[in-house]
Formats: sequence, structure tokens, C-alpha cells
Amino acid sequence: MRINNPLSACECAATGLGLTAAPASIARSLGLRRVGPLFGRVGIWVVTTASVARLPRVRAFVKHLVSAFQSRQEIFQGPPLSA
Amino acid sequence: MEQSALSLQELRGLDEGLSGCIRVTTLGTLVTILAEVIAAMRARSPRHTFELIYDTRTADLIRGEADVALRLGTMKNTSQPSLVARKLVEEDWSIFGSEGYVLERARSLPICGGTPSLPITISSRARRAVSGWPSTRAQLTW
Repeated sequence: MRINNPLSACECAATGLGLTAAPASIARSLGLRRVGPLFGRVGIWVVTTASVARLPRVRAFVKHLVSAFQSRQEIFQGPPLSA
Repeated sequence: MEQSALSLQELRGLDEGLSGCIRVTTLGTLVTILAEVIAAMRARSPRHTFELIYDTRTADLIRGEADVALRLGTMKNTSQPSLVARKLVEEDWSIFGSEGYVLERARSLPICGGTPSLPITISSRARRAVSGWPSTRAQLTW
């Protein structure tokens, strides 16, 4: 089977097919198995323009995002996956 | 009276700023976290609406292709000065597969010497299997 777009971790877990690139916490929560390294540690960023960042709804959204990632911090900093 | 009308207008403006659509572009893999955030926001304020653009292509925020992007990698110092970015987390990105798929490949392909046991040594074959993803850190600069 050939898939033109890269599989997301969710698609990979749902179909059981192919390989995907993913952060360990997400892959672990989806029950995926680590095959090998890819980029090493990289940052996940929220990006917007200065004018959009001033909108109250965007500020609220970014606040929720920061909180969601912080609450997963324990998983992100968890022990490395085997393999 | 005029003063009250102005205040109402200001309040309406603030209200419009709090509600409305946010167009978010992200990698498919980050949709799981994004879905939690969207659900939490909509539970508190159902007037928030979202348009999810789920693509590996980097959307041009300056041209208004999206309001907010979740991106992976590093921002170039010379990048557009009108962009603002905040790092959410730093994590190890690796190649993953389902248990069944990985064991099947381990048996059928020589990526771990033909044995079904893990760990599997990553090979160029496995890297090609995640085609469409950047293969080096340098390609993660935006």
C-alpha cells in the first residue's frame, strides 16, 4: 500500500498500517511502538501574527494550549520508551 | 445616552473578540492534543468555533491562510518579524508503528535481521516509510 501523505499517529494507530513520526507522549497514549529515532528533541510551538495574538479569543486559546501541554509535562518528561 | 451607546459598542466589540472562529493549522499528529483544547474551550464558551487545517505544508500566517499554527522545529531568526511564537514543549520525535505492523515487518523485512524481536535498528527503508516527513532537523526550520 502506498500513501501519499504521511500518516498521522492517530491514523497509524487506527489502521494498524504504516509508520509515523510522532512525539513519544502521543505515540505512547495511542499504544504505538517505537521503531527508531528521527529528529531527537524538538520544540512544539504555537505561532501567530502579532495582530491576531491580540484578539481575546486567540489569547484564550493560547492560554488553554499552554495549560494542556503543561498538564502533559509529566508524560513528556517520562522515561524513554524501550526500543 | 451617547456615552452608553459607545459602551455598548465597546462591549459588543469585546464580545466579538471573545467569540468567533479561530483557524488553526497543525500536523495531523498533534490533533489529539488540539481536540482536548478545543473541547475544553467550547465547554466554557460554546460560541467559540474552530476551523482545523491539518496539513504538513507550512501555512502562510501573514497572508491569512490560518490564524494560529502549531509547528515543530525552530523559528529562523530572520523569519517574518510580525510573527510571534511561544514554545509549548520540547520532546523526542521518533518513528512509531502499531505493534502488529512492527512485528510483521520485523519478520518479513530485514530491518532487524529478520527476527521479530525488538529493538529494531532503524534503516533507510523505515525512514522512507515515513515519506512526506522531513528527514533532518535542518528541514524543521521555518
